[in-house]
Amino acid sequence: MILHIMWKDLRLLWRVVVLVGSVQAALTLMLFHIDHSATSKNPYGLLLQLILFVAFLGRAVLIVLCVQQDAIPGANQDWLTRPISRTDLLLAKISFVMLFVQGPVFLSDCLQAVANGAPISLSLAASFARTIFITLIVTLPFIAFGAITENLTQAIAGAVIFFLALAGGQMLFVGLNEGRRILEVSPTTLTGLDWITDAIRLITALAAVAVVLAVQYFRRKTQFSRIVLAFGAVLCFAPRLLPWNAAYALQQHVTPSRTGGSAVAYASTRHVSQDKVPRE
Amino acid sequence: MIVADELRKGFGRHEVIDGLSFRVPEGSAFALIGANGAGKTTTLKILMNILQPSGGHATVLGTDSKRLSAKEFHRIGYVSENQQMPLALTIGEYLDYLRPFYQRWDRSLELSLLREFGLPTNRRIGALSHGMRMKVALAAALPFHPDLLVLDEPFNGLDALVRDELMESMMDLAGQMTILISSHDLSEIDSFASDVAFVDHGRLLFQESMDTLMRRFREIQITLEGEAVVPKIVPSEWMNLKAMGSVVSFVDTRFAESTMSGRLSPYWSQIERVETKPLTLRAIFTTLARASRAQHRLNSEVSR
Repeated sequence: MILHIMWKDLRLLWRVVVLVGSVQAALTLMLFHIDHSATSKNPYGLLLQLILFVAFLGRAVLIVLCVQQDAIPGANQDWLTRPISRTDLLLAKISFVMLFVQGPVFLSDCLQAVANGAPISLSLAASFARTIFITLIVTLPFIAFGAITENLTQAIAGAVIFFLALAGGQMLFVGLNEGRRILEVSPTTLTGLDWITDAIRLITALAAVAVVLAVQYFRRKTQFSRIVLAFGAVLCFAPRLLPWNAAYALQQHVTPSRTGGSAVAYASTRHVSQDKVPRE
Repeated sequence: MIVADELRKGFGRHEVIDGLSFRVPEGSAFALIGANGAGKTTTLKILMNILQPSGGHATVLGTDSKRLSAKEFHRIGYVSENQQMPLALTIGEYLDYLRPFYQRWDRSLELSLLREFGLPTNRRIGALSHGMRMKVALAAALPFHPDLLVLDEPFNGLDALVRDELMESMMDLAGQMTILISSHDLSEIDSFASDVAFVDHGRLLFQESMDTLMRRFREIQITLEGEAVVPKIVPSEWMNLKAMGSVVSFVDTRFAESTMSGRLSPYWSQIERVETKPLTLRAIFTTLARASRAQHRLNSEVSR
C-alpha cells in the first residue's frame, strides 16, 4: 500500500512537485555556469542566493505538504477511520520525500559532478553521501515538523514561533553572558574538535525526530511530540556551548586506542652544525 | 457490538463526558441523542480511537477502542459531518484510492450508490456542497459491507431533499448492519432507530428500545370540573406541568394505562376527563432537554 498512498499524494501535489523540480533545475544550471575557483566572481550575484533560498523553502513546503495530506493532529481526518497501516503511511511519506524532494537534489548533484569532469562512479557516491547527510539533518526533521502540524497555516505559525523563540533565546543568552563570560560561545568552532559538537547535534536531532515520528504515527500524541521537537531543537544549539576541554575529553573517550597513541620519534641530526643553531 | 463503560473525557477543566455507559446491541439502529455540546461527537470519536478517553473503557467489535487498528476498520464505516476528505481529488479518484484498502469492497454496490446519490465521479470533492460531500462520505463508507456503521450528525446542515435521500438509505440499511447514529435532530431518527440513548452534559439519562420509550412517554391532559391548580409536590416522573383554565397537562415519563387513574387521584379529585397522547421522539427529547436545563439552572443557583 506504500506505493498506492504515494501515488495519491503525487496526484494531489504534482503541481508543487513540478514547481520545486523546476527551481532545482534552474539552480543546477546556475551552479554549473559558475566557475567555482576562488578567484572568479559569481556572475549571478544575489539572484543565486535568492534561488538557493527559494529552492530550500520549496523543498521544505513540499515535505510538510506531503505529510499533511494525511495529517496526524486533529480529529476529523478521513484516514483515521480507514484500514490504513500506520507503518505503510509513514513509509509512504518518507518514500515520497526521498523520491520527489531528495531525488531532484541527488540528480542535480550528480549531473554537476559529471559535467565538471568527475567520474560517474565517484559522482554517484558523492551525491549519495550528500543525500544521506541532507536527509538526516534537514529532510527527516521537516517530516517530523509536518507530522506535528495539521495544515500549512499551522506550519507557518509554528515556524515563526520557533524562529522568534530562537532569536529571543539567543538575545537573552547574549545579554546574560555579556561581561560575565559565564559560558564561552562556540569554543570548538574551526578547531579539530568541531566534529564532536556536530555529532552531538546530529544525534540529538535524530533522536528527537525518531521519537516524534514514532509517537505521532503510532500514538498520535501531538502535544507531547511538539514538546519533544522543541526541546530537541533547543538541545541542538546547546553543543555550541560545549567547553573545548569537555569536547577534548569526549574525543579521547571515543578514540579507539586511547592508551596506545602512536610514538613520536626524535633524533638530533648530525648534519646540522652547532654554528647553524640560532642563538638567542 | 459496542460497550461503553464509565467513559470520561475532559478538555482542560471542562468535563465533556462524565462517566458515560451504554451498550449497542448487535443488529440495532442505535441513536445517541442529546443537545448540542452534550458530548455525542466526543463519545463517537473515543469509540473510533480518534480521541483517547481520560477515564473508563470501551470495546468496539470486541476490541478495546484504544486498540482499534486497520484490522477492525475493515469492518467499520464512519461518516462525520466534519469529515476531511482529500478535496483536490475527484469522487472517482477518491473511491479508486480507498478500494484497495478493503478486502470486501463491492464495486457493484459502489456504482449503485453513486447512481442512487447522483454523484458525478469526475467532480472534485472540494467543489461539492456540504450535502453532496455527506453523500460522498456515505458512498465511501458502505461498499465494503461494514458490520458497524457509525454516523456522527449526518443530517446537519442538509436541505430537505438530501436529508430525505439519506434517510431512505438509512432505512434500507437498518437491519443489514449495526448502526450507531448521533443526532440532535430527531424527526428523522424515530423512523428507523431501534434503540435510543439520551446523553445530557456528558451523562447518560437513559438507554432503552424505541418501543419501550414510546410506550412510557405520554402527554396527559386532564380536564377538571373546576379551576385547575398545579400541586406543589408532584411525582418526579411528571414533567412540563402546566395548568390553563380547567385543564392540566404534563408529560408522564412512566406511563402505564392500568395505574393511571390511581396515580392521578391523590392530586386531583374532580376529574372530568383524561386524554393521553403518544409523543414523537422529538417531543420526548425536547421535554427531557428542558427539564435537564431547568435542573442545571437550579443546581447552579443552589451552588452559588
